[in-house]
Amino acid sequence: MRRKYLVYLWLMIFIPLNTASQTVKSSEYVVKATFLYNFAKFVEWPAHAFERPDTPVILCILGKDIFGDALKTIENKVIRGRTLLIRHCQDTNEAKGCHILFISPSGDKNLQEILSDIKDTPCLTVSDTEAFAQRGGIIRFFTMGNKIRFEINPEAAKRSHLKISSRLLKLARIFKEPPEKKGN
Amino acid sequence: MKLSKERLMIVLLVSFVSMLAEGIVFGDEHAVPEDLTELSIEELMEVEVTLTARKPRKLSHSAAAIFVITAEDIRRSGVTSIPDALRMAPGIQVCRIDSNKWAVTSRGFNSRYAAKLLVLMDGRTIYSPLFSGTFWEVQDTLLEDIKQIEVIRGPGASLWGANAVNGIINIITKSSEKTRGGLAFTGFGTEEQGFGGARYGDTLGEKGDYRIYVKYFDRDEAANANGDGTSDDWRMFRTGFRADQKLAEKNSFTLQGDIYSGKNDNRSVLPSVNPPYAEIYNEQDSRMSGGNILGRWQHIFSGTSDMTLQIYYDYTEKEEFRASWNGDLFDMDFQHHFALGRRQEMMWGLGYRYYQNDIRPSFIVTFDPPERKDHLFSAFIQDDITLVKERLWLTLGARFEHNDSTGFEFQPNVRILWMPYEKNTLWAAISRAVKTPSQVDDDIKFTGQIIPPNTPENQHLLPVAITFTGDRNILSEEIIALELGYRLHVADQLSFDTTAFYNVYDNLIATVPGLPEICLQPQYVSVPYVFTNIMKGEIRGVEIAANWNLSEQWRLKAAYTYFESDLRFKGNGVPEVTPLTKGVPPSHQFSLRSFTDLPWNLECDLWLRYADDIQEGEVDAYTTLDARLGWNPLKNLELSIVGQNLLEPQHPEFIEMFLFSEPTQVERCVYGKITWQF
Repeated sequence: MRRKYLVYLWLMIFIPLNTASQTVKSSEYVVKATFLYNFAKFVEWPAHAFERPDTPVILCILGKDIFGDALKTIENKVIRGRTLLIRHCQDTNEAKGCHILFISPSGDKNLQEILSDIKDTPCLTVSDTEAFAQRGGIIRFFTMGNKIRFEINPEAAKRSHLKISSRLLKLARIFKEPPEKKGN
Repeated sequence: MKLSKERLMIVLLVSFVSMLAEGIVFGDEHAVPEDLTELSIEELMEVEVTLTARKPRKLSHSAAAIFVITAEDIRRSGVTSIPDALRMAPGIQVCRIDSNKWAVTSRGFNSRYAAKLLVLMDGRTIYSPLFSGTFWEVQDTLLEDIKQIEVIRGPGASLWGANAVNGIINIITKSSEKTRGGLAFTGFGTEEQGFGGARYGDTLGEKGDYRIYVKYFDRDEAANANGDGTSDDWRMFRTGFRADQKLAEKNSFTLQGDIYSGKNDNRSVLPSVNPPYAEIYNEQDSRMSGGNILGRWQHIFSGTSDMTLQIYYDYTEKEEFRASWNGDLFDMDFQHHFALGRRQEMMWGLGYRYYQNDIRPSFIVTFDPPERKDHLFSAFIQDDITLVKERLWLTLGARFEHNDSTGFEFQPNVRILWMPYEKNTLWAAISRAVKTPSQVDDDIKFTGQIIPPNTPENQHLLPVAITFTGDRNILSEEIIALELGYRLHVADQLSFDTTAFYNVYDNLIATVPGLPEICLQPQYVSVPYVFTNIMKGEIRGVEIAANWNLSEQWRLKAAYTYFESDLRFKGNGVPEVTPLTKGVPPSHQFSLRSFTDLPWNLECDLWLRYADDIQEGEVDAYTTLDARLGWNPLKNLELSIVGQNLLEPQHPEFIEMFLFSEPTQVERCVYGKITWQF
């Protein structure tokens, strides 16, 4: 049988489109995950939050994991001799012992409950949720232009016995709780 | 809900851009996340983020009977063609008619010309507008580049468009970002008489990637009932590329294209009006070729609003029954998705399709007119409403379409999804869809049979030709589908997905004999069997898919389908009607796949399938087994040996009434393959 085939030549006419700006771009959740890692660096927990000097820092994701693979870039990083571990949990009972608690938007509706459950424990609460700081959360991410910013509620941090470095505070938008409405 | 000014502006703006549409949101793939932990926190503050377009809903969140065939499923099954991969899905019936033809359908009406299934590859419709069905033999790509095949049973017309009557098959290839580097494979076996392919991918500019591929195969003939070869061997060469570019973080572009060229042989006994009224036709090197080019632009307005604009051109050329067909298709799609308040996700779109078919007729098949140009306009809207957060959703959707054959068509659907607990999903849907007439339904004249003179069936002096004849006045076939689904995620190790459906059809097409006419030169009597909307009926069924991971090393995937159908003629007293719907699905169909990871980088995979008898017992039930043994001696080298249809030397799967070749059977076969990645 004759098997004749034309040799096809593909000419790819595709002009590489270069972006004008040279700024680093990344996915939202990779940046947020890296911020979580940085928070661990710039927050001081009370001594009783860790058993030993090398007890790991535990970052918990409460509710749906919206980070995907992004958390892999920060998992097992060592911060001042402590390994950063990641744990997923469904409710605040499972979140016992967490040093950083990221509350996913899915956990939104019982946010008040979550915050009151872990009140007074040395746990840094972080979320994307609107009015998170107003409701007694410590750090809230928000987007400004194409950049990730965060808001800190220092009063809430104080109640959780956490000391936030001034370097972090300087970069943050500070939320001041109105004096008449202390606590949550 | 009040539209904000900004949203209103966006809506107006994009309406202005428009003309186009269709409803596919592709998974926005991301590269492996880069490590930013080396940056200081001040530097991190300056990193710009990519706004991600809306992620398509998770499988467990879709109120439709959806089944996903993954790249890993394809690799470990050892299949060498797309239709064979579809055998994994419940509700889908795949039959190999001969070496180079398949019959594939969803929920009944199977035939080589099955016309109630929408098939898409990367957003491009690959069914032929000539007969609204898919020539599976020409639909292929590098299987290694397929990201996944989404198989959606049931009508999906509101979002997906024309022809999505009984199901949608959506073949999605990997973004070129995921295929950097080289890949080459080759192999041969008893039926696969030599195949090979290669792909190379790399970055293109700062924010883009591309890949190019080539593929070739040569497949042996099938066998007849006696085990003799049926001269239907075929060969195909194909090449293509895909390039993806991101321009700023809000715009992404894809440009892709393929061309293919193949030849097949076939031996048929064509009807003839001259004695002996049959003619052996040895089709040699019948050509099938085509190509396509597609461009897609995705723009993100904000985290809750994005749009996609897609344009493609597709060209097909095919020879068969001594006739040939050229088809051109041009398609533009626009779609816009945005969040309307906190509880509603809106999606709408516009589409335009132009296609022209040009037939060079033969005695067997002619079209009147042989050339035809068609325009199809469509618009769709879908609203996803969260009734109870994380628990209850309602989806309302509708598609409006205008075609040259039947004018306006309206295809609405309502879906509801309830998650009483995190791991339980219950959904229900009611939809209406139509199968609009194709050029075959309108214009064909197909000589299916010649009855010689002076025989018991034909006592005249002239031969009688049975001519299946299209009708310009034919209406769309209609379906109302009720579906109920339940997904249970028992644990990470065990999950079930069950769907029950009840489809009510009306205006199904069958043929009714018309007035005979005498043709001169040569002299014969032609009895037209005219396509008429004369049948109605129901098809009911249950489809179950289950995954069970017994351990890290051993996983099972099962699929079971139960069908029953009751199709009948409308009214009474229609004695001489030929149903075109002989493709009643098998009552029971079962598939069990087992994947085992062994020590020494070995993989052992088995696939057991059972299909009940079909076509009124003309094709028997069969049980068959495929097996694959894979070995990775090095990380980038894979050797595999695959045995297909191992339980019997051969078995028939389907007899196509609109083909004149001898019924053929699928043979047992073995092939070996070597894949190298670099």
